Amino acid sequence: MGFLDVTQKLFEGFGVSCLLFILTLVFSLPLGLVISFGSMSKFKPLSWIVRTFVWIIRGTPLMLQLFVVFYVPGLLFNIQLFSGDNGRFTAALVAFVINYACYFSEIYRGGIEGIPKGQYEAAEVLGMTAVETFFTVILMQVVKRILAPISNEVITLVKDTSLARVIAVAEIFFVNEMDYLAYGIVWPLFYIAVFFLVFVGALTLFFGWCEKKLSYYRV
Amino acid sequence: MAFLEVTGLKKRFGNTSVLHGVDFTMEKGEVLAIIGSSGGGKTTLLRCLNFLEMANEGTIRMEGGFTFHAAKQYTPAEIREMRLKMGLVFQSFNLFPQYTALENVYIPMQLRAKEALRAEYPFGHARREAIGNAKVRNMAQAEKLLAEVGLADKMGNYPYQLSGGQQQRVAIARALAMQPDILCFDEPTSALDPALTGEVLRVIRSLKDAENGRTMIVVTHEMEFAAHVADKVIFMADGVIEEMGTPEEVFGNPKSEKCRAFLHGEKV
Amino acid sequence: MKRFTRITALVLAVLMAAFVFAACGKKSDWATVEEKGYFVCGITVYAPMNYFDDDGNLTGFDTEFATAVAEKLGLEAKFQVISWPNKYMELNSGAIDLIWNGFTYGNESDGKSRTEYVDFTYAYLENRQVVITKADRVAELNTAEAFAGKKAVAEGGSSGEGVAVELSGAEENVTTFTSQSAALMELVAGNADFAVIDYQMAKAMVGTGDYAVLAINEAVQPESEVYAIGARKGSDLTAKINEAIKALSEDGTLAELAEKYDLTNDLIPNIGAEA
Repeated sequence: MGFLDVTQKLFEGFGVSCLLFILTLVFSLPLGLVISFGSMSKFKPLSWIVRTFVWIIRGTPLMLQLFVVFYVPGLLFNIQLFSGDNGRFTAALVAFVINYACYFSEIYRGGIEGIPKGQYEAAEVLGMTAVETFFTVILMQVVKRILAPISNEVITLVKDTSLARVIAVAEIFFVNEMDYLAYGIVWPLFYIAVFFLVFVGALTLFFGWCEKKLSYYRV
Repeated sequence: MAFLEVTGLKKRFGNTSVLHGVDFTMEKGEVLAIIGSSGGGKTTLLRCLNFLEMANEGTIRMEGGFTFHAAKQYTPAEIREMRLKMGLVFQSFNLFPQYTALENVYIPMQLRAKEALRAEYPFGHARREAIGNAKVRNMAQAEKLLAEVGLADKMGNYPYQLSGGQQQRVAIARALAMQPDILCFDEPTSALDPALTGEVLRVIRSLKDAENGRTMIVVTHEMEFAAHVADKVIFMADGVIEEMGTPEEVFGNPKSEKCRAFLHGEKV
Repeated sequence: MKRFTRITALVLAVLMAAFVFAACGKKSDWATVEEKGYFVCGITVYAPMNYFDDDGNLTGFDTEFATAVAEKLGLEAKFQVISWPNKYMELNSGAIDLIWNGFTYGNESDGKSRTEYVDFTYAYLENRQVVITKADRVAELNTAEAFAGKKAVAEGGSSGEGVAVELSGAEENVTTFTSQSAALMELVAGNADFAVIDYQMAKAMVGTGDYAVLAINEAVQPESEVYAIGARKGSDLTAKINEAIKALSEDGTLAELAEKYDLTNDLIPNIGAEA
């Protein structure tokens, strides 16, 4: 049970955590934008459906959603949506993407709706098209407004990945529980804390850098 | 035939009628001041002229420009084209915060130049070169316009680094850059400290005094400004034009009771 | 709006049809397992049943046993580490095919027989639940009555949990964890007075390593139990596994395995033989 063995084991688990983290962001950041457009749609039935969906997802625990995604298709319908070696990971990813996309969609919506009407009107009277308005005028203002809430969510996501263990995804905590905690070895827990601190620290630096990059203007 | 002819313009928001039928004309090079108490429909009229609101009834016709019939349907592209004949300076400036003063003036010009060049050159090197040339031209034009409003030394500043008066002058330069046939101002000094209104009004006045005097419509609370700069004054109340005439007529000898009461309150 | 409703209804109908179709088309458990060529055993990691050796390979009595059974059936055995409290959900959703991890033939903590949730195969190993306390409290907690009202810990959904409730006298006194080892950690940390876990696990772990301060408290001797394998209710896999177990018992393979893992005294002899 050398330090190196533990490091290697935990790195494997942490690799799974990181992959879950990255893939969740890759899919949920754009999906969130689609959902936010849906919830802002002028076609009322669509906006109601989307908002109800967002309400359900944000109003129920992620842990429950993990259970539902992974177990319910098999329990109720006898179908194995997530079979095979990566089935659990895929199921976790699906639950995470849906959950985070809904959170991101609300952040986007707040950011977009928070842009003063005058910005759109100024763009209009200057003859800009809707697309030009979005990309030249609105986008960077939204980015600046949502940077702080997005960075909060992203850092929360780092730690939320550990929830995937409830459907037995071999992320770092699950690995630790099965390999070390099961033998009464506690110190890797603190080691894990270091992994997370370093990761979150890096993210904090990254978002700080972004904030600095955007500090040349104020919205 | 007048340069701008507005006939029977009506606008409702839901069940509330805001303009009950507005008729007026103006000539090229004229400065028209619109005065009246808040809620009288001045701003709505201006927004209808810039197609930020769509009038429910009536026509707007600009000689050599466009004819807008409220009863007709227009595509967004058609509205954009008509809108570009008009310019609008807002009460709250509405500069784009992420761009410098120069970029605020230059970017909208360049976008339109690019659109025109994309139509002219389908693709390739020639188009890139033409767009590059347009950039140089438009940048120079933007610098010239900013210099004209007295901001030659503030071109690299972001809006938050400018005073309200300076921001409004950038907004005026930005509107001028689009070369509108008529430039509209919606209470351009209402959001400013009294100390800063002078610099903005001076700029507007200089536009009138320039060689080819600008055609302008100014919604304003500055009665003195209206009296001295405008060629024509309209007093609006409750969604209709109550009084219309030269400044001498409107301020000196108003026929309408409402106008007299209003001017008395404003202590001209 | 009308069109929208119609489209929604159509989509729902198609989805429902798909689910019903999938449900109807379900093959028997044995046919499914045979087709995919393996069965998945839901396990938790603990010695001596399923654990990782020094090279990081999964091994243990149950691991080798399941592999041998699979071989007899012409299949492969796969092992999935699960969260023990979710075991029935894992099983019924089809995420695993068997609960094979020192699974006690007995009751859940709510007093319901586990036979209500699973079909058991033949029992293969003797087991009992044992009470664990800190070694320095064995003298103090020396009768069954002494545990009344004491704080207990156990693995959630384990048969130890039922024993813990009985001893402490109330469900509120028992805190459950996702693994037996987590329960033991609580005891070490001083958050509870006693734990109830499997004898086989206690034998391997208590008194060693981080659990050095703990001891098996012999003051209470819960009834003995047996380990068996849990399959889905009504599954035809059960009979197939039983056949294989019987054969492995007859040919001595199980006895060899028991010896290797020091379980000879606990192994049930002549499994499946006519009485």
